[in-house]
Amino acid sequence: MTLHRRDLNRLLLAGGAAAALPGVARAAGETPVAGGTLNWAYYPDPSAIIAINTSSGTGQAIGPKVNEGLLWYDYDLNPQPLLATAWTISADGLRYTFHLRAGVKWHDGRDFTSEDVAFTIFRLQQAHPRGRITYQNVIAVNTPDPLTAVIVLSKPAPYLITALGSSESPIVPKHVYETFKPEEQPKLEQTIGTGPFILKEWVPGSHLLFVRNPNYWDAPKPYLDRIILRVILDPAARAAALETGEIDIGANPVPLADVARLKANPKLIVDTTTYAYSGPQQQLFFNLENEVLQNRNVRLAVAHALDLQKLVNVALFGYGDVSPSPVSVALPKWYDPSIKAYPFDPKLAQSLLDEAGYRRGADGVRFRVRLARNPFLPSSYSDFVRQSLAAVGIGAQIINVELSTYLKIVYTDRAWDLTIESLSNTFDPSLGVQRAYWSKNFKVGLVFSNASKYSNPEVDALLEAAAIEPDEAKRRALWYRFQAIIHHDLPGVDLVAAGAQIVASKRVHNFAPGAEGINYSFRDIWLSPAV
Amino acid sequence: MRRLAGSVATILLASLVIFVLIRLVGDPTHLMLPPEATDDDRALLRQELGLDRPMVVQYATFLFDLLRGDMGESFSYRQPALPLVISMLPPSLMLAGAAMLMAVALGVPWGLLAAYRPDGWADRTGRVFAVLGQSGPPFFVGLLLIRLLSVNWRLLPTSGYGDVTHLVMPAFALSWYSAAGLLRLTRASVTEALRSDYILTARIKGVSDRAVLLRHALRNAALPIITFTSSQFGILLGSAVSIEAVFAWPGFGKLIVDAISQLDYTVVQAGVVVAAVLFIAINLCTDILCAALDPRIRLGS
Repeated sequence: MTLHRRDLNRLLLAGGAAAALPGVARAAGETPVAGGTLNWAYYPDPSAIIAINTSSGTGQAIGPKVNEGLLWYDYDLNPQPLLATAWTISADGLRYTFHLRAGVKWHDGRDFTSEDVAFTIFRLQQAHPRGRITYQNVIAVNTPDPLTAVIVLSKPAPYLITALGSSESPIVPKHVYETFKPEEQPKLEQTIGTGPFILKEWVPGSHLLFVRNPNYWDAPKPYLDRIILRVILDPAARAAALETGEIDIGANPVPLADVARLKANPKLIVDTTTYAYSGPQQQLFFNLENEVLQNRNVRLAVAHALDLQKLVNVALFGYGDVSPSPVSVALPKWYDPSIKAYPFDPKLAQSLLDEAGYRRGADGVRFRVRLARNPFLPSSYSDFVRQSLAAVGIGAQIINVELSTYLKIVYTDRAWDLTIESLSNTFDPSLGVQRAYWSKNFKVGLVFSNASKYSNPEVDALLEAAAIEPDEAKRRALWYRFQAIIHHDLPGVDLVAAGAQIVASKRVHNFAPGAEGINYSFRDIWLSPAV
Repeated sequence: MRRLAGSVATILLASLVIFVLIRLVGDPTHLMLPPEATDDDRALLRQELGLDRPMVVQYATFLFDLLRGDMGESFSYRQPALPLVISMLPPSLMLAGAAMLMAVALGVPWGLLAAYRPDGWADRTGRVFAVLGQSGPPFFVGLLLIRLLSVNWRLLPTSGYGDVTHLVMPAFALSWYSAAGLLRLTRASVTEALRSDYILTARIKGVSDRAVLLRHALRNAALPIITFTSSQFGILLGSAVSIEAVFAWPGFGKLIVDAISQLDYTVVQAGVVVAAVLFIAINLCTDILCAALDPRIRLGS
């Protein structure tokens, strides 16, 4: 069975729905049961465990089980207390005061204090690729007492309050992390946090073993005795392990074509919620250094040639949403719902191309383009775009290469005309969206930057203002204006927000209580006794 | 002595080829550093890893360190590369060893029976098996086994590394191809031996069928079988990559393939050197075994 978690919550609020949704909804009413081992299928083989000096997906998924952030976020990205119990932001947006939870201990028994928070913020500012931007305005972290930390900024940073989750800004113990260089990874015995689980064993290529932290501050949590993360690289093997019950949970465990089969399995639940913290967004960027593509009508023709709902249905097997604006539909706080996709109209596309002077040649082709695709995305994306373009007379040759070559072709060699990118919006558009449209972020060799080489002074000004606007309503207005301009200018066609899937045994309860999805701590997970 | 020099030259050549090839593929710093990293970050990392120096200097350093048993630190795991590679050997050797035992246990007796009674039931079923074995890719056999034995019948765990129940399916899937090859080879070699004069002599002397087959025919047919088997061991180690992936077996092959896609130079280099040493050792063992079995082959004669 499948459902969106957000819908589930609404249903539960409506009351009486629990009976209509056996298997899952029942969980909300039941008392958690302590004990048991959670088997978690994971790929790729993890290299970094804690996202303190990396934004790697593995660090974000695995780290929160060990290291917690100051806050966690509900499904709508509203901050909730974790290591911080209360917080205030000064009216000018320059002082963030956090009151920390008392009685929290590191896994080695030492006390968690505001010194650790101060150390972590500066470590993130120095070594975390996104932390450098998130915390760029931090000039001091004051620690008036062991349970108060005050972050002082030179300029407002409105995204900061959303950046304090366990996967994005994990708080690390100063007394351990100050003993090695910022760019180094902690050794196994140094991988300690305040979190619900203690990392006990790490065998590369095989597994990670986490055991319950008996001194966790929020007793009786965590409910699980152990987590075994098993590295299983083959999708068929992951599917088989889920079907036999050897594995209890996995994120995107199988190719999209196989999701339907797992859905039909009465022992499994397929959760297709798009968790807001990741802000998925896929774009088709135009290389504006290409003379043909400098013509807005040509770009508009491409937009009209694409049936985005069909792209969702064909390339994503329906697991995703059309996301027509540069701000992902997964970020409802900032996405402008008045922006609609350009209607699918191949006839209009053809006449636009004719008017632009690109008539069909003897072979039926108007002009040819090189179409690249971020290999993180399935090849069905580029197949779909190529066919859609062919229908209006644009011949696209697909560049099908692995990631390092792709990055070189697109961001260094710039030997492409169209590229299908997957620039996630993250949890805030200043961090996730600005990079693709800010003219100062066009830098040859800088990957995931302004690929189009788009440059518009008004947009630059809007982006720069939005990044320091503390008032949420005013900031939203800036982002709405930005979206309208980009949607008109078409440096790219915004395509879809690809959904993620979590497949879990129905024994597993509360695996994704907030916006971070499975990249949260598993502190709330409990298992129904085996049947 | 000449043999030893040849072995060392082989290892050096293998290391040189892989050293140059992997550096032609791409720049690992693009994959190691996050997307937001700047050119300066990358330059700094290249310097830290020693990749900014000319390739000749890098290779000389590599050889010098190799003499001390130091093969550098893995870029992605941040652990010394050689111990990492060696730590992955036992599961791989266990898998390849078990697969080889299965292949021999299956292929040799079956081939022998097939040769003993051409067109008998063993020969007929053997022919079917040989075709299936040599045309069915091991990973596909593995997936079928998982479907049948694990998902449908719940007899064995689907994947993972642990006790002997975890070993059965991957070892069988891996042995499949070699077993079929051994069957055909044994059948052919024994059939040929059975046609020779000394078998006729033995039969005239009144030696029993069983003794003719085992003591005379099989012993004389053993050389190609042993040579083939030892060459299969290398192939088994290599083709284990797909099986390791299908069964989530933490092996040497998977480590190296991952390292190649990550452009983790040090692990690839350490892996190639270790593999070369292993192959040479296996070849040496084979030659000694053959010499012991067959007095016609003796070193230096």
